[in-house]
Amino acid sequence: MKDYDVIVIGAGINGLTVASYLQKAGLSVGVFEARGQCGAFCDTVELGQSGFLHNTHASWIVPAMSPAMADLELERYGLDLRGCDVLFAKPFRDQTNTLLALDSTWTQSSVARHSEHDAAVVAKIGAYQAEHGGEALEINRQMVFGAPTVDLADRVARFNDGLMRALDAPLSGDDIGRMTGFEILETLFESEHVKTLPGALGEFTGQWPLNRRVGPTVIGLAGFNPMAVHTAKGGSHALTHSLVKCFVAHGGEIWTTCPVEKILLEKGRAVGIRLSEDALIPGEEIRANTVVSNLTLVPTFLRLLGEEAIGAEWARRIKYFNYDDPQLLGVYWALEGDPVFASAKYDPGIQRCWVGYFGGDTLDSIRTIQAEAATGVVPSQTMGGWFNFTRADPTQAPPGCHTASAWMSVPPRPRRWRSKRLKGWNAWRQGLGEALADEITDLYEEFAPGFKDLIIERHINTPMDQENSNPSAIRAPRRSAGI
Amino acid sequence: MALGQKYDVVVIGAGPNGLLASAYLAKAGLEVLLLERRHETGGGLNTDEYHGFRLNLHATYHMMAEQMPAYRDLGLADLGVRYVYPPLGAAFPMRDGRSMIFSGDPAATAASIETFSRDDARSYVHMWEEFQPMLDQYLVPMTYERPLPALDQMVEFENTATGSRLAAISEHSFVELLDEYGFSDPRVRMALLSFPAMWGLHLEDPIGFLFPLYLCRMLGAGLVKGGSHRLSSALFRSFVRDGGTVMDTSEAQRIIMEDGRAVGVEIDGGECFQAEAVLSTLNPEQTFLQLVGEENLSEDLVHATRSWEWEERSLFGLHLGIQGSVTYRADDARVNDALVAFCGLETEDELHAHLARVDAGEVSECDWLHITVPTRFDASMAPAGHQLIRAEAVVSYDQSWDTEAKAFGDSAIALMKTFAEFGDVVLRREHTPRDIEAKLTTMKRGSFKHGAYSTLQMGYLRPNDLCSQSATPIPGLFVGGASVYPGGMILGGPGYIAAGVVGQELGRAIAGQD
Repeated sequence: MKDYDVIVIGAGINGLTVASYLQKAGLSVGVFEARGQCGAFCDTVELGQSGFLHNTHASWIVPAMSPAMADLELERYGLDLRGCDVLFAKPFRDQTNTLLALDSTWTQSSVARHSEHDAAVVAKIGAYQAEHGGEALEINRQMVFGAPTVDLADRVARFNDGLMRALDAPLSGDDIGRMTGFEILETLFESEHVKTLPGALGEFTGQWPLNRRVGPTVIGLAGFNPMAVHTAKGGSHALTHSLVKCFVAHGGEIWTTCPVEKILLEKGRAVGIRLSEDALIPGEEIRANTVVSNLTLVPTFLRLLGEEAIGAEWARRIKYFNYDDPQLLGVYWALEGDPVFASAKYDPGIQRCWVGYFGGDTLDSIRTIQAEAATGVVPSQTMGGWFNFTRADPTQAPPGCHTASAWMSVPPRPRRWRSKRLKGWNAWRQGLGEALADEITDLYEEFAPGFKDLIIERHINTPMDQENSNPSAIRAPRRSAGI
Repeated sequence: MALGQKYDVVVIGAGPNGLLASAYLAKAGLEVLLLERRHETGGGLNTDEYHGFRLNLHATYHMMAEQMPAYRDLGLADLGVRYVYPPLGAAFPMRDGRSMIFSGDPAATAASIETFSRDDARSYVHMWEEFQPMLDQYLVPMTYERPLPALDQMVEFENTATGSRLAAISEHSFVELLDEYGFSDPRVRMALLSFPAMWGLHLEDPIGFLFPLYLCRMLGAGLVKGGSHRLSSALFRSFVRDGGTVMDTSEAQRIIMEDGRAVGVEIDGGECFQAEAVLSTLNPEQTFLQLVGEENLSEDLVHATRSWEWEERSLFGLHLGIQGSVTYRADDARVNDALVAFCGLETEDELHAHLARVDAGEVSECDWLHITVPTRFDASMAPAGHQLIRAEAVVSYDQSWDTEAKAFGDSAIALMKTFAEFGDVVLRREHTPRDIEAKLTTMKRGSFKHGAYSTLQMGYLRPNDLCSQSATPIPGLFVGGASVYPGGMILGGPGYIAAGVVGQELGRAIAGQD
C-alpha cells in the first residue's frame, strides 16, 4: 500500500473532519477505520422493520455550529439539516409544559406561564447576551473549537460578572465558575417548571449540572437561547455521508475493516501504522509523516503506542482516565402514528417539537438520579430524553409512520437497581436493558397516553451494545470520556 | 416546466448495478447524478451494522467476485474490496452424522460423493470437466457482453464443440441434467439440486445453462471481507472520486418526457434534473409504468411490462449474534469450513416435496436451511468473543409473514440446533420476504432477482425483446438493473453492459469496453 502524508486513525465524524481539512489543503490523507462503516457514534440503522431509521447514538447533531459546515461545504455534499419551531420541550406530570422555541418571545411566554419572575430573568439574560452578542459567540467558538486557555477562563468570568450585575444577582463570574449547575439554577429561578428545563438540558448534553465548574455552560443553558441543533434528512448518518463525500471528492482514501494494531515509531517519532491481523490487509504496515488518532485515550496510548513507548509515568496517568460517567440506555420504537403528549392541551407547541425530556419534574429528582448514576446505582426514578425524529424529518419512517427514541442515564457498571444487586457490566446481558426499557415505555405512555398502542416494534441499545459497536469508546461514554 | 441542473446521465437507483454503471460513466468523464430512494446506497449490497454485528441482509455469496471486470477496471482492491474464500464451498450434514462435502476441487468432492455412490462420483468428475470449458469460453465472458437473440446465439454456439454441448444442455432442466449425466443416488441428487434450489429456481424449468454457473461458481464464491456493503462503498467512492454526485433520500417520481424522448427525472419534492440519458436500474414495472407512464409507452411495451413475472419463491433470512462458539456436530469436522451448510433435507424426493409445499404455501415450520457462519472466515463480522450465523430458507411470499416471522424463526433455530451447537443468542433478526420488499422496493413480492428466471425472461428476453441490450424503445432511456440481462446475484453484469451502451450513445469510451 502507498504512503500518506497523514494517516488518520478512526473514521468517526472527527476523524473525517480532520482528514477532510488536511486533504483539502493538498496533503494526501488515508483514514483507517476498524468498523465496517464510517461514522462511529453517528450511525443510522434500520434496526428492524424496513423504512424505520433509528439514530442509535448521536441524535441531536450540531454541525451548524461548526466552521466545518461552511469550510467543507457539507450542504453541497448532501447534508440537509432539519429541525422544528420548538427546539426542546419538557412536559410535566401536572400536564403543563415548558418550551424552548426558535422564537424567543414564544419561549418567554412559555416561561411566564409558570413564573413572571423567571421570565424576567430569561429576558434579562437574553438582553445581556444580545448586547454582548459578539463576545458570547467568540467565547462559545473558543470553548468548542479552540484550545482551553487561562485567558479564556478569565474572559468567561468577566462575561459572567457583567451578566450577574445585569441580573442583580449577588454573585461574581468566579462564583459561577465554582458552583454546580444545580446551585446556579436554584439561585436564578423560582419555578421548578423553569429550573428543570436547563437542568434537563444539562443532563441531556452530558454537562452534568451536578458537577462543579460547569457553571458557565449551565448559565448558557439558563438563557433559554435558541440552539443550532438538528437532525438531518435521512438521519444522523447523513452527516457522516457528507464528510465521506467531501473527503473522497478531494482525493482522500478510506480503509474500513482496518483496525490499527500499532503506531510505528522511529527514534521516538510516529512514522506510520501497522494493521491488525483481522484487518482487510492483515498486518500491513503503512508509512506517513504524521499520524492522527481519533480513538480515545486508553486505546491510543496504551494499546497503539504502549507503555514501552510512552513510559511508565505517562501510562499511569492514562490508566486513570475516567470512562465511568453515567452513560445512555437507548430505546427505539417504530410507531404507526405520532404520539400526542397529554400537555398538548396546555400548549400544543409541544407537538411541534422533536426533542425533549420527560420525568424529572423537580430539580431535586434530576439531582438524585444523577447522583445515583454517578455512583453505580441505576436511577430509582425513570426519566430521560425523548426524540420524535419524524416530526423534523418524515423520511426517517415510511409515509404516515413515525419513529421515537428515548434514553435514560445509567451507570455503565451498575451495582444496584432499587433493592436488586447487579453484577456490574454483565448486568447488561442479564435482562437489565429489557427491564429498564419497559419502564421507559411506561414513562412515555404516562406522558403521552395511547403511546403503547402505536408501537410496532422496540429495540434497545445498552452501553454494552454500544461498546461492541465502537470498541474505542470503552463502556460507551456519550462523549467518549467522562467529564 | 422549469428543468433543473443538467447532467449527462441521471441514474435511478444506487444498488450494485446503479453504482457500478455510474462509476464507469463518471470515470469516462461524464457528469453523472445518481438518485437513491433510501438513506444509504448499496441496495442488495446491504450490511446493517449494529451492536458490532455486521448483518448482510441480502447478498452474501459473490459468485463472480474478482472475475467481475469492475474489480480491475475501477481498482476496487485499492478501494478496500477484499474477498475471503472459505476452504470449502458447501457441506450437506445428514442426521446420521455423515456429510457430503463440495469444493472447487472436483477430485476432493468426488472422494466425498464416493462414500455415498461410487458411480455418482465418476459422473461428477465427468460433468465438472464438461462444465469448465463452458464457463471459460462462454458463460463467464457472456455475463459481461450484450446478449444476442436466441437464434443468433445458437448459431454462434454451433461454431465449437463446447458451444454445441452448451446449446444441448441449455434447454434441459436441472433434473434432466442429472439424469443425463447419470446421477442415481437420491442424496447426491438432492445435494446437486440444492445449488439451484437455494436461489428459488424451479428445478423442472428448461434453464440448464445456469447449472455450471450455479454449481461451479458457487463453489468458488467469496465473501466480501467486512460485509457485502464494502463492495458498494467502494463503488460509491470510485464514483464520488471521479466527480459523480449522489443524492440519497431522493426518490425518482417521474421520468420527464419531451417529444417522445426521456430528457430528465423529477424527484419527490418536485426537483427536476435534465439529462442526455436516463438510466433506470429499477424493475420494469417501476421504470415504465410508474416513472415513464403508460401514456408515453407503446402498446407492445405496456403489454411486455405487464407480462413481467416476479419470482414465485423468496427467502426468509435469520441472523443470529452468538456469544461464544458455533460448531457443527457432523462426524466430519470439515463441515465447519464450508461457506454454506445445507441442513434438513436428505433426498431428492424430500427436496421436491419441500419445494412443492413452499409453492402451495404449506410450510409453517422451517425444515430446510442453508447456513453460513461468516465469522468463521472473517472475524470482523462480530465483536470479539462472538459469532454471527446467517441462515436462509426458501419460502413463499404469500405467507402471513407479519405475524409468523417469529415462530418460523424459532423453528429455524430448532432445526439448526439438531445440527450444530452454539452459545447464547444475543442478537436476533428475521428478514422475511415482506421485509425484503419493504427495504428494497425493486424486489416486489420479495423477488430478490427483480423477476423470475424463466425462459421468457432470460438472455436476450430479459426484461423483454423491446428492451434488450440495455436500450429501450424510448430515446434517451436505458435500463440496467437485475431485471436486465444477465440478471441479479451481484454479477455486476447489467450495470457494466448498460454503462457501455450509454457511453456509446454519448460518444464516450467506457473503461474495459471497446
